[in-house]
Amino acid sequence: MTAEARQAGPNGIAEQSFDVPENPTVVSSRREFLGGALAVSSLALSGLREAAVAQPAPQPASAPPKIGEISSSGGRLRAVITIKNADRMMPGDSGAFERKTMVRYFEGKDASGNVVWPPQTPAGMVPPPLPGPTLRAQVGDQVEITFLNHVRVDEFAGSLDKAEEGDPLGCDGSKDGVTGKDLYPQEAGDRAPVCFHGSSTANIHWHGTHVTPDGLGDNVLLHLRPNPQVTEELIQKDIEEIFREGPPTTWLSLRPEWRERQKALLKEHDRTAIWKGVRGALPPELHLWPATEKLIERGLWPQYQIGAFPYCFKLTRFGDTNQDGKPYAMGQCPGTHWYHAHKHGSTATNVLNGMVGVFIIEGAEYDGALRNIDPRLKQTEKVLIVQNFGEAPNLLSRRVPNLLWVNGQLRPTITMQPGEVQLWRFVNASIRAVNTLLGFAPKNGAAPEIRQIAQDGVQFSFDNYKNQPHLRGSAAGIPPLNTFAPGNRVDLLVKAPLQKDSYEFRVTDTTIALTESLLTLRVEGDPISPAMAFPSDTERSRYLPFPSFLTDIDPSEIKIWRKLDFGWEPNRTTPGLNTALPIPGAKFMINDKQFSGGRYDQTMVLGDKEEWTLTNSTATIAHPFHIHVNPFQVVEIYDPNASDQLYKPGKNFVWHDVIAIPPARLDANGSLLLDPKTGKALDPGYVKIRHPFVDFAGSYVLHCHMLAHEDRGMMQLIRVIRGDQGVPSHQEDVTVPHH
Amino acid sequence: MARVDIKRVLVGAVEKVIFDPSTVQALQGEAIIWRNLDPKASHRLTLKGKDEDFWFDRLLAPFVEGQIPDVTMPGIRFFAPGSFPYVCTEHDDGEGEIEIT
Repeated sequence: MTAEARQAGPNGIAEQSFDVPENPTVVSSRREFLGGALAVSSLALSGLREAAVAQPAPQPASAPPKIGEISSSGGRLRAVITIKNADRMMPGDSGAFERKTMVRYFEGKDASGNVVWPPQTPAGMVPPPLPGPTLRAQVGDQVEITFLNHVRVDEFAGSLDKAEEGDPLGCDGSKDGVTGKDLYPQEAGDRAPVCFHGSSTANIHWHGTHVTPDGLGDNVLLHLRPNPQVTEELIQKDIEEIFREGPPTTWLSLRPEWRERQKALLKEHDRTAIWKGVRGALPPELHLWPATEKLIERGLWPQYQIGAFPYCFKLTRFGDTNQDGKPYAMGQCPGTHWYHAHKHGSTATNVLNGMVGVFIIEGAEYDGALRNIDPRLKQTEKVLIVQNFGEAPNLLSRRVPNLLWVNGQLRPTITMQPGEVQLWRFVNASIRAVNTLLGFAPKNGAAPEIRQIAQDGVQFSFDNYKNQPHLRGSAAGIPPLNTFAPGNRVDLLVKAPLQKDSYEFRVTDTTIALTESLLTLRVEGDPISPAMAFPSDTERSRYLPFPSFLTDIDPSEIKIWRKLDFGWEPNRTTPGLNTALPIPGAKFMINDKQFSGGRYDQTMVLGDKEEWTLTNSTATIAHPFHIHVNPFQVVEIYDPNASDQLYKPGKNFVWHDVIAIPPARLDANGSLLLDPKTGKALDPGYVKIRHPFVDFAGSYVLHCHMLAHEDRGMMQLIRVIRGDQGVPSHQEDVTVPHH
Repeated sequence: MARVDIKRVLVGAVEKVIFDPSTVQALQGEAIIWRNLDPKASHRLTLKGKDEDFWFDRLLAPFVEGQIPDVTMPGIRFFAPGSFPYVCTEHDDGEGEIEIT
């Protein structure tokens, strides 16, 4: 790290240190680590860093750490995000840090070159895993992210990017040391490319953004391979020019120096890669440059890039015009969004390692309006990212990470004054936990109140704010919907009661049927003054304005209906390994097919509005459906196993970009009810959605946001084509085997 | 740390291949890998007393300065505690040990 990088950022975050011994004889609790870290941070600002490192101050109940933020300025969100790897103390089932594990993580530098996140680690210390930096921009800003992949693939134990070196199955893998028996992928029956593989190759999905899926936008077909030699200094001049010129529409309009460097790097890879233990022996059919060259010759974007990628896109403002001079049909919704690694085959491993971050997009209709109602709502806002941590998914690591961490801390405590109202922005960045938000447990007759004001970064209309369709259970004794699945964001206004006490905020992790406390709200101090209240739910004019592009989609505008079934192979009744079946591991499929790069499963015409019925034919797992680029409206949810089976509001539909599809009906013994003729679920759960495919043509994906399911096949490659154009897009999936 | 480096060192006037660390400690279920930092030879590791391709069906490529070293694949996992000696099938310089706790 450079001397400049050591300088504290504007909020002093870069000075934070962790006090975790390399070989702890007594395993301390998570709270003590981060309590110590926070104490260090505050002392560091007063110039007492040495003393602080030597004397960490554990706190009995700590606030969730504030994740370092990088904010836009002058209409540009400028940052450098680098994937690095290092040892982290991984928690066991109890939450104690029990083992040092090599993981990949996001390092974030701001526009001045300061490392904002993660906190600096003193020599000899091994810190706990953490999410990536929080990004904050405004609707209308241009996003300019230099993305570097500096992973050292030879330093990994749990998940390796070595499959392309000659392993016949092409997957990450493991063997039993005593028996020599192959564990993964053989045990599960997985085969490349529908398996965990290429775990150090990555890209970033800008989850919740309404931007192009092409080129330098929300391009998840990108395979950015690691190369630590491609440094920021090497590419800085080109990056500056690319960002100054703005997003190019084609690869050939990108700066020639950039294109030539990538060509040289790809050729170097093909010349020096190891194949079956011999350096430089990679067979020609596995070379990356020829496949890349073919795409470029066709006027498309290359899929493989090495070391660096310049993300550059505009957060569209409703009312602005696109490159053709036409107004956008939708705008970017201001709200709580996020970003995470999304290369097929490495998504689950990377996200489990912590390659995620919150992306707050601010705008007048949401943040601005809340600030106008009461400026304190903005000042005290909490950004809370919920994760599981692990080295690799359970089929590889044989560990199921169940604990839910909030900003890298287990069950933190948030303190509020009696009567205070705060905005809490929750992001579910877990790879597997489909949660129901139960809210606060009452204590001595009092409980904090909650009101949901946004789902998946899209603000609620006045009617939904008033009716609270997702949390209605709190009033009517009906369970709330499972609206906090992996990928979901929920914004809550929380009002502390006047009674000083500590209140548990509970969630139910539906897959493992575990209700637990996510965090504690401690109410203490003097009552807030002047008094605070929730925004009005009686006077529409005093509530937040609702953007016109978010009104209900008119059913008469729907021209296309589709059905997508999230299922597995016939006669399977449980998700676990079943040796009685021809392939023991569940094959997670959509419409009876596993993901296949190069095959388009759905093609939509730009500008169309469609209604889809998403069914779930599996047992016990509520697969969270996610589609990129455009949000959708949820019009109906059927849960065959719930007493309140049908959610059908009729109007004022809530916008989502992830929705958990309820699993199929179980019989009285708790087994999946099968149709004996077909071996398939007799009564699947379903969700009906309506979505507009507007503004952006191109190729992207829909998938289950339980990311191990996505990597193992529950994904579709889709495209939106322009009705007036033969060429579908600038990006196609031409995955080279073993990558 | 479940990673072992294979290195070539001078012991007196004689070159010797060593495992660093010579005893690798890992938790049950934790994966272990080896990477070849020896620029002069290929290596292949196996549990002592077992067939040469018991763990790996290929050799680890020699190390080339400036390039990423070759690493064993897949990762080896032990699910019971104990000590497990291992050797290189291509060389008889010495043996390493895996200690599972």
